[in-house]
Amino acid sequence: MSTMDSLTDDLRRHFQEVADQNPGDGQLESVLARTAMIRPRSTVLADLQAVPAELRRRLSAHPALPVAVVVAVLVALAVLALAIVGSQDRPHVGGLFAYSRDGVVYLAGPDGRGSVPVAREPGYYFNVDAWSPDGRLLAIDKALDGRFPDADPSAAGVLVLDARTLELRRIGNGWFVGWMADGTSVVTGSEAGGITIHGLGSSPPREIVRASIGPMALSPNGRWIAGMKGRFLVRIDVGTGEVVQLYDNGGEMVDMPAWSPDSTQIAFARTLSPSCHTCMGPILIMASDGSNPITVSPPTTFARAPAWSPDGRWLAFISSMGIEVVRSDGAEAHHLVDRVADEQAWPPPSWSPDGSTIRYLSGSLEETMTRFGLWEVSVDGGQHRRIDDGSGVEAFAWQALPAGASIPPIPSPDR
Amino acid sequence: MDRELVNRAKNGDHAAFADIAADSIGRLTALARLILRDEDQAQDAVQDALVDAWRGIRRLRDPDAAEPWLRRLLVRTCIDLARRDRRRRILELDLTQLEGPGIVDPQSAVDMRDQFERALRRLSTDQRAVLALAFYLDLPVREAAHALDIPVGTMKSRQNRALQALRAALEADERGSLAAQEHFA
Repeated sequence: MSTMDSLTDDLRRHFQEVADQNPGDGQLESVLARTAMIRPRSTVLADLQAVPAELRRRLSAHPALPVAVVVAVLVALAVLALAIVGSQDRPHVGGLFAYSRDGVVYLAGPDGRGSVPVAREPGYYFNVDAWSPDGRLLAIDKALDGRFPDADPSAAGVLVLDARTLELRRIGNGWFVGWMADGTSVVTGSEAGGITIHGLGSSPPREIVRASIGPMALSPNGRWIAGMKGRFLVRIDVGTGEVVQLYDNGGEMVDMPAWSPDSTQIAFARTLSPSCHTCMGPILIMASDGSNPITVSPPTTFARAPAWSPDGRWLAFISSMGIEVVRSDGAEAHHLVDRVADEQAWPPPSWSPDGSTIRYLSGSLEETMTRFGLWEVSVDGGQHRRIDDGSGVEAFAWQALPAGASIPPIPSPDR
Repeated sequence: MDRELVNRAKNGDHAAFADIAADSIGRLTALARLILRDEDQAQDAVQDALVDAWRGIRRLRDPDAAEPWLRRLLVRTCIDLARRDRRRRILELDLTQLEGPGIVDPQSAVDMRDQFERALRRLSTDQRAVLALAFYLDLPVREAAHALDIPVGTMKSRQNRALQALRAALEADERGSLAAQEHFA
């Protein structure tokens, strides 16, 4: 078992031996006896059987009604198409918005409208990561799609999309960790347990450290990476590769830590129990050298996935109750969004570049599998609306532009 | 999985669901066995997952997604079951430790299987789930991440760390065997 390949081969053989045993006698009968006494729950969208008898009678008595509905839908679609075409001709004030769904990456206006597919290829799954600091480039994860066994694994990895030309370049292997502060290089993590910087120019990749690091985040100033190494939250110096233990978490951490915008503080969800890796909370903040850890979330709240506001004064995080917002000194905690489903627990809520709204993913995976509804709520709780077109998204990223800046329309993918 | 069967089950046809359950129960039990390493618990988890599936089958919009949906329900059930049964797990761990590595011939297939069995028991349920999805079902990272309800990046790092933990557990077991052999020599 000297190599990882032989270990995984041995593991596969062992799994096959154990799995090949037959299921226990009577197990199926037991399942069927239990389920025979249960009626499946109704869906939220009622099927025809669930439509009240009176409404069904009225529908069948007025055949013109469905025609009217069809006409209304066609008119609405025409208006929507005109709006989309119009929005693509105008500059986008407030920056662009990127999201991915079913392995395709789209760019859209800041309100989610006028979306254009910009990265898709049979055999691969594209996933949005993050915009470069200047808002021009978008990092994208390209993974193999298991339905296409002949796809070339060497084409997968981290890619960068130029939002103005839609040019797509492969940067390197592994998965995206963060953009360096000047936007000229990208940090990636690898399956083999290393962290590497890839320049966008001709310079060769540079390995920062060869170590297995769990969920990790690059500081906005590009000096450090915070991540989990074993049960410790560590800080890695990007320049020297030096690894410093900052906090004994007592167990694995599921979520990546979050750097404050000025790179002086780290927020993270502490693991409540070493035997329960997803039992997270409370939210702690400490200085970038590990000093002065303080709890900022209410002590009884299950909490995870903290996200800093752009001005660094506030944190939003997920709780068992929904989404909470708290000042970075722990004061003024308030509940913003009610719990919708377990699946809203990741990824972290995302602040708009101006800090006025928060977007988050929520929805039932049983219904939509990997897609989530994308919702936006104003920080004062005044406005709450769904952003996606009803089909859901898998991941998304705001483009961070200076206040009031606009960018040209999204180019046509065919151009 | 037969799309027609799934659609019939979604419409409340229990016989169709029975066919689905009969078709999938072997695969589900195998996966639960690998995650939980306990036959009774594995069978409980499969039963609970299938009952949950029947209760919620109308919420499954895409019949073609029935297989990953069932798998996801099972993985969640396994992890929940293991967490609820922590006390029992701790007792099992103690027993494993008391039993010790024993004196083994590393060339023997049976001993190799026992060595893996002991090493996997030292891993957490979550880590075993990661390894089973990746190296038994050979799921692509994205599908395995979906089954565990974690981001793709987290899945990658967890898989890496689970393999390292397994390697460490196997090496510790081998060291124990050598020490025992020297003691009795």
